[in-house]
Amino acid sequence: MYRLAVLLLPIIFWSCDPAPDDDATTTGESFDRGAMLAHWADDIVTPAFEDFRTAYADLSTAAGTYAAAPTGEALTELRASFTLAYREWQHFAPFAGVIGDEYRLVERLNTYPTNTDRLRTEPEANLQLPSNDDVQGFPALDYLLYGTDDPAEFSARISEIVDAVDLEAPYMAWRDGGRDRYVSNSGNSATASVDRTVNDLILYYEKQLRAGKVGIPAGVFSNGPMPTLAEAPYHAELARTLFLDGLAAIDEFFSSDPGLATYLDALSVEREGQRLSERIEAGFDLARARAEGLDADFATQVTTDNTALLQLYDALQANVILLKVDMLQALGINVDYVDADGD
Amino acid sequence: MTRISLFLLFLATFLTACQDDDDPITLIDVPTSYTFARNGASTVSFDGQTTRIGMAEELVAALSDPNNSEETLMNMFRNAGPNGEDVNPFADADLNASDKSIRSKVAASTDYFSANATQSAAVRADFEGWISSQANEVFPRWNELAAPGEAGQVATGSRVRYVNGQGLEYNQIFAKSLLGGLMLDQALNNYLSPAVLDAGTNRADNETGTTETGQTYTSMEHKWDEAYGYLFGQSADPANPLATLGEDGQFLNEYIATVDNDPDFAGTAQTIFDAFLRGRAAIVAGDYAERDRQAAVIREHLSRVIAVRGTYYLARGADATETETARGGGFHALSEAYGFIYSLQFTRNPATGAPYFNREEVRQLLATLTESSANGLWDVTPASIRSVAQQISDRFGFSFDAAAN
Repeated sequence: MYRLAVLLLPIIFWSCDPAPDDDATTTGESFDRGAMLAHWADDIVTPAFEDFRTAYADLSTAAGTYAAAPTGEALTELRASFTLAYREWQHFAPFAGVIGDEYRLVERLNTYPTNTDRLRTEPEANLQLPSNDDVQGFPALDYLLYGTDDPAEFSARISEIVDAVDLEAPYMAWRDGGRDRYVSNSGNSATASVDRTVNDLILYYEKQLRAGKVGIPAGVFSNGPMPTLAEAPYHAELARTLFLDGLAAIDEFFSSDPGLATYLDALSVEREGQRLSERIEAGFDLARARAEGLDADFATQVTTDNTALLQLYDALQANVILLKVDMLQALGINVDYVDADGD
Repeated sequence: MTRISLFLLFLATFLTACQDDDDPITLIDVPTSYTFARNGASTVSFDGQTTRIGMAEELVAALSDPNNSEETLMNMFRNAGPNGEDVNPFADADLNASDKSIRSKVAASTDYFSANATQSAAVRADFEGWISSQANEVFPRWNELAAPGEAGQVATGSRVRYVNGQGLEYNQIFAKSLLGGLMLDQALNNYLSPAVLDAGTNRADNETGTTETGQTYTSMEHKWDEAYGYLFGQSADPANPLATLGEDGQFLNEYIATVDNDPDFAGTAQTIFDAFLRGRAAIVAGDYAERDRQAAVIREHLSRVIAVRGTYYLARGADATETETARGGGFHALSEAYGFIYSLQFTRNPATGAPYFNREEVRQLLATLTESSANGLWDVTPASIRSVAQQISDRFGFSFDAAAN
């Protein structure tokens, strides 16, 4: 009887436990998160920021030249600078949150569709106001440079829009202390750099790349294709390039060593007999292959063959699951963002 | 053989010891959905609650339109003019035609306010103050940037928020305070109260099945359903409201869902719904002790929803305040938190019959957020914010981390 009672003890405790503890997660003690953060900061974020800053300075110069004398030559130069800066932006945008959400670079530089009515009727709109995100940034420039009969009519406003966004303050803040704080914050709490960077990146991938560039124009969230909601619809040959730039930025970040792929491999994370890192990289490759077959203009693509864009969306979505669920679980990172609660 | 019998006896003893079945004898017929009928006709009705939720939704939306005058907003709150005259402030004609109003049921419960008109008036003055300040402080600066001491716009990500000089959004304060001041107070402290359920001849009428004039329900049944209506009055299928929980209205329904979706509080929605169902069935069966036990369950868990959500928003606001070099990103969460904290004075602790935090305690919590410096949220520290959250979670007996994530 005595022995039986001992035997029963585990059963008793087991049967009374309301919620078995199942959140034991490997945190990868042996992996050097600090070295990874230094690599991210110095080899990815800083160069991406500097390249974008240079391209944006060129855009500002070209816009100033055009405003002073709106010649055809100056317009050609300005459009080329615009295209280059917009592309460099795609490489930096996923890391804008690392520099600081408070600068609102993603919102101010790339809110689309732009409000063409207000661009025409409110030429004095205060570009510092959050309520005016949709009359500034690259989408507004796209319309003014490619969607109007005569861009010269808007030459002064074009220059104002470019110069309204100040990159110097965030750049100086990053250079003078921001980078060091970022690298030294190497713990694994919700406010630690790794957790926040990974959250920013997945949020960008999910909201900007998957939904904004592809899902929304493809009509995934509406009753049909929405060509007017595509990125850069007035340029009409740029959307695919911008998408591929954005995808490359995320892919390179993921695969860069030491980075998320090496971190996952260090923890020996596998799914269905294959390394999770390889599955995610294969997902990026599939998305790239599907995008490369598309029209240069996604607004055109959705009207000619939307199925191809939907297939691109599906490839992107498959990786959302692997990144947001499988990877975060393996790394012990909580999702720190939720869908907007509608109010 | 003996050993095995003993073993089984042992097992049975310990397994049953874990079950919550101290009501072995019951004749209550509990249906699986919130469906009750008398002579084939449904006895469930909560039109008045659906109407008030509809009014509250229109008013909250109107607080974000700077073209509205203070008078229009006040008319929506009262569903009457300043001298009680008839007005038509709502877009929905049915709401205009109604003789009900939001204001008349704010801080109006039998248990808390029938003998405390002073405090009821103070609460209503708070709500009217927020409306007035929105119109007079925030609307005039709708197209200006906010700054310490200056109302205007701040951004939360891609969303524009409109705050007062302290960084507070009056529309959020108003909406989240209605959760307590209107919905919680009416449901927990009025309709689930024995003082209301058993008022007059309600018990005798319920025993004999004497229905209200022209209605299918007894008065007691109806009171209970009116509490239910503040949670599920806009549900796609009010008999099975959990199927679409969170999609049916922006008030209690939404926040029961968000708390229920937190794994640390999973089951909250089912617990609340089951208690409503069982309590209503107990009324039909005439088992008033059981009815009141279920009311206690609802009071405890619905009160906790407010506390958990308030703690959650405080944690979000503290994080934003800590990680951003410029203020503003946390103001929205903190404004929501402000309303949830305000609502705590209408919660109901079934063990004491009193709110978990009384009005004075609520005032002190809010003062920590907004009065520790001249410019309120522009200067408040993450530590101060977290101290408020900690006080709330401690009082309710859940962990700060459980609610914060």
